[in-house]
Amino acid sequence: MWIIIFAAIVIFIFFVLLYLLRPVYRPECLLTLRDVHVVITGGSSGIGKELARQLLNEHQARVTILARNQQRLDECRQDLALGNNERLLCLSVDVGQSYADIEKAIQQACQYHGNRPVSILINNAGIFYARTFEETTTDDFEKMVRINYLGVVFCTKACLASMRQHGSGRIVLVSSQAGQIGVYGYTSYCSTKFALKGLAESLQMELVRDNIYVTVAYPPDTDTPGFAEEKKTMPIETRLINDTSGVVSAADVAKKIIISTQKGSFSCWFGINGFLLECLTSGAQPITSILELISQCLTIGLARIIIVGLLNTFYSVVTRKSLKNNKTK
Amino acid sequence: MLLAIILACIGAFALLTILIYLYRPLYHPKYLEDLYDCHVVITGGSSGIGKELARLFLNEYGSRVTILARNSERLEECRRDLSPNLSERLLCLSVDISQSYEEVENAIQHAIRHHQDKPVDILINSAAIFYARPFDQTKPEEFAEMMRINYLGSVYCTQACLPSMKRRGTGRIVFLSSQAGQLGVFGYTSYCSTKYALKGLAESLQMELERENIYITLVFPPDTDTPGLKEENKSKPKETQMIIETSGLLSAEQVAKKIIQSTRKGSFTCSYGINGFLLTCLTCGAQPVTTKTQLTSSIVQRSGSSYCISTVFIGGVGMACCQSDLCNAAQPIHQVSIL
Repeated sequence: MWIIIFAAIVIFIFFVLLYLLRPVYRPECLLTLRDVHVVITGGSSGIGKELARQLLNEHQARVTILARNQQRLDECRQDLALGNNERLLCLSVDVGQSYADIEKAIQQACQYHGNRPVSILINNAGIFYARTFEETTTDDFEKMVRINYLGVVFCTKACLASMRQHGSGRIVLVSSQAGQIGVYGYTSYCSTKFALKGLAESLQMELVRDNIYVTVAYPPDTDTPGFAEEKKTMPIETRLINDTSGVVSAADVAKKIIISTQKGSFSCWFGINGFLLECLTSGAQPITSILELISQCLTIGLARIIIVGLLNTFYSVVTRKSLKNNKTK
Repeated sequence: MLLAIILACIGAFALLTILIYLYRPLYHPKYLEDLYDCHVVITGGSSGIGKELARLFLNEYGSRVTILARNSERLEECRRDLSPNLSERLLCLSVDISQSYEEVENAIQHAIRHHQDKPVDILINSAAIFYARPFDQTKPEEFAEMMRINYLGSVYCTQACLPSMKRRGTGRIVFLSSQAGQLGVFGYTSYCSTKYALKGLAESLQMELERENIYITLVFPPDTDTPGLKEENKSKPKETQMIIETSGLLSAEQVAKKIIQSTRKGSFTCSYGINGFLLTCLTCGAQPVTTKTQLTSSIVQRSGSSYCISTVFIGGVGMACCQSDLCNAAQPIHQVSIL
């Protein structure tokens, strides 16, 4: 008798919790992306280019690529635009420079694509390199803030008006696993990627009533030309730490980003490391499904234990390198 | 039966000991016992939390304080208030830390010379601007300005002080973040980003500086009773007001006291009250730990409870925003369904 009453109380509490902790919003899943206007910044190479490729070929979307380097844009166009000529527009613009330039580019893109407002904005443009704090000049810090953070802010602002008119939208911020954990050599980079998270959390709270959803993607090291460039000057401590994580292909990253954007999930992670990091650093993020909440609650404690163990390893890598350097001196 | 229980207990105890050893804190900052004659640089020290910090350092600890701030008038008032007898222990320099690194470097060198060639022992990055404004009402230049002052300013000051700390073989760097640097809130798109950036900076920087015996503290105060807050409240959006009311208000002195405590201990984080504790455990993510209690409490807390609390909080807040929009008598074309 008492067991039944007890069970009934537990079930009741469970349903109350389920109600209280229900997802704060439910984005509609974008089932078809045909003719959807997608703007991709930094889309002329790496993850951005793969995104453009998949959106054009597999989803028949209409894509606008914004990037700085005209030559790379031309190469990209030749590569992607076989038979898709008018669905792809490539515009040369520096997203970190001036808001007015971006606004003009977005308007031009909307006009080009048959006056279609922007439905999905993918903020992928970013620079990255690993350098110790003292070796990073003030110009380096400023440039990284300009491109990785302000560029995202400007593009988002430029696209918001048309998304609101349209009554819906998706904004994707491509962060990094370095936007979830601070690592040796990434003082400038981590800060900008952490800033994107703060932006996303606050922005989502403002945009929920406009039916616009924000997704933050946290890819690990991805096999791109940018990454190959970065490896040339990476401090050894950073390389040793990065080696604990794998390298994924740009195509895989792009695929998952597109799926998460369609679902309107707040975060997009990759692999088991990504899952653990996401649970660990989910903090005060919104959830879009109850499953996320359950998995995060259950794994958070364990993830914290794992990460502290990992941090111990990272810190000892750094200390050992220092002892070695001192000995050779 | 009893034997089995005893063996199980011993086994559990042994496992616990091994785990505690494996997960011992990464580093042990030495507690700064004596702050007498310590050279402390406080940016934004002419008002609010920075000024209270300066007051405590000068009067209770006998330290040597350098205040860096922009507004010369406020600096002058501050000087008269803190050091009416014009003690040489306090140096006030007017400099805009976000403008150019060279200016900051010059100011730091000037300060070191003034304080009898004492290198900087403690740097407190307190200079910041803050206001609450919806994303579309915040101009692009305003985003850039906030990032420059709140983030780049801290970067420049840290870079300027680091060489002398390294020569000395020890140092403490404090970054004043905010509870808005732990969770995103309506109206704080520009502010939250800058405070989150400080967290990313602190985590990476600590990994680089640990071998130099320099320790970083990230402070997460809630709303603090300062002139800056009064100014902010004049133009705060209704939604932000409703959300912030759920958290309390502290005095600048309370905030400053705890900052000094945490700095002396070299703790990575400094939070306030039960809300602060929960938020820090919730968002500690991949932060380093400096004490075992931090580790255990963060694991236990994060096993669900604080997570659920924050989700309820965010749910409530999301609803507040939606309700506020309805209160504004706007006719949203697409209503968010609140099931």
